This record gives sequence, structure tokens and C-alpha cells, in this order.
Amino acid sequence: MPDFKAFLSALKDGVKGLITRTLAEHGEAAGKDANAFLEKTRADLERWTKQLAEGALTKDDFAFLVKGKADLAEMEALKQAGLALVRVDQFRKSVFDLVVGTATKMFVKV
Amino acid sequence: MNPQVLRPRHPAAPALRRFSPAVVLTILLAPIVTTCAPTISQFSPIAYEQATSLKVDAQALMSKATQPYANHEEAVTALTLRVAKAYEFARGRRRNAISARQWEILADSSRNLLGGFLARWKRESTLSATFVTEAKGVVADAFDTIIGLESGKLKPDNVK
Repeated sequence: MPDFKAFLSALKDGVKGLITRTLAEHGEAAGKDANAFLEKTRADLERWTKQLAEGALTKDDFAFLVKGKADLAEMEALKQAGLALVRVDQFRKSVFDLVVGTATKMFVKV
Repeated sequence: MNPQVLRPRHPAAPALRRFSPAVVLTILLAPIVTTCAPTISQFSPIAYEQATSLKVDAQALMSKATQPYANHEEAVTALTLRVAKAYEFARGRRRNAISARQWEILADSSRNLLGGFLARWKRESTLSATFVTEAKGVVADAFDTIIGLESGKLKPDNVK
């Protein structure tokens, strides 16, 4: 029968891989979202400033839209916070599957 | 010097040796299993449908804000009610505070998204076409943050 040391060593390698994968995936997705948001905000502000100068938007319109962007940034941050929690749940499930899978492979005779 | 003498030994070690690996494994896994309750709600098709449907309806109604508010008051009241129901649905789900907070910001009439837009329309009767177009874009993005979070949640099949 395999010993506990081998079991723990197998687990350690698996968990290391899981952590690396989870952090990389989350970092990439969050970075993409942040860049897209900043890029869109830059384009919107540029257009709104031009529309304000041309008189197509009033000062109140402009202020409303800029404040709306700030509210939107808060909602985007909430989305990212929620998705980070989803990753935590995914990670915990993966750790559980890894422990059970490794233990079954090493200790349970078929 | 014999290293065995220096190695600290857990008081329960002799007792644990009497159990089979399967029993020890169960003891080790118990904390993982019991703490496996999700930290955020799972995906809800109802919440997803509410958000996508309200996004389309809100955009359609906002387009009419170049016309007098009085002509569309009933439609505004109906939409506001549906948004309030979506918020209550989100608030009532366990571990769903983040989504509920998103709905709250979107609907808040003192802020500058859907709730604020409808309040301004009521106050000023009509709004300019340029402003309506630009505000629609911001509100659409706000709905997308709600939809994006909901669709990113784990499906019940992925949790088992």
C-alpha cells in the first residue's frame, strides 16, 4: 500500500498546479476587462468633451454622463469582485476533487 | 545524536496508527467537505433572463425620452416596478449581495444610471437626442456588468 508521504507529495504537486492555473486565468480575464473598460471610458470622454464644446451636450448632460461612468466603474468593480469569488469556489472544488481523486487512485483497490 | 529523539510527535499519533488509511482520510477530508459551501450564489437562469430582458426594454424606453415624459409615464412606472422586482429577487437569493448591490446602483434615482435617467426625464420632460444616445450606452454597459457576473457564476452542474 502506498504511504501517506507519497500521497501528500502527489497532493502538493497537484495543488501547486491548481494555484498557478487559477491565478493566471483570473489575472488574464480581469486584466482584459479592466483594459476594455479604460479604453471605452477614454473614447467616451473624448467624444463627450467634443459634443460639449460643439453644444450638442449641455454642461448638465456632460456632468450626468461622467457621474454615470463613475457609477458604472463601481458596478464593474462589483462584477470583478463577484467573479473572483466564483474563482475561489472553483478552486475549492478542484482541491476537493484532487484530494478525492488522488486518494482513490492511491489507496482504493479496484 | 539520534534525530528520532528530537522529532516532536503529535499526541494523537499512536491512536491514529490504529485506524486504516480510509478512516484517516475521512478525518482529513471532513473539514474540506464541510467548508465547501459556495462563497457566491450559483447561476440563476431566472436572474439572467430578468437582466437581459430588462436591458432590452430599458433601452427601448430610453429612446423615447426625446418625447414628453407625460406620454410615457405608465411605461416608466411599469419598467421601474420590474427593475424593483429584479432587485428584490437578487436580494432574496443567498450569498447574492454583490448582484443585489449592482441592481441597487442601477435603479437608484439619485445616481446617474437608469434610475437617475428616468428621474431626470421626469424632471425636464424631454431630453436631447445626443444625451439620450450617450446615456443609453452607459446604461447598457451597466446592465452588462450584471449579466456578466450572473453568466460567470458556476452552473449547478459544475458545483456537484
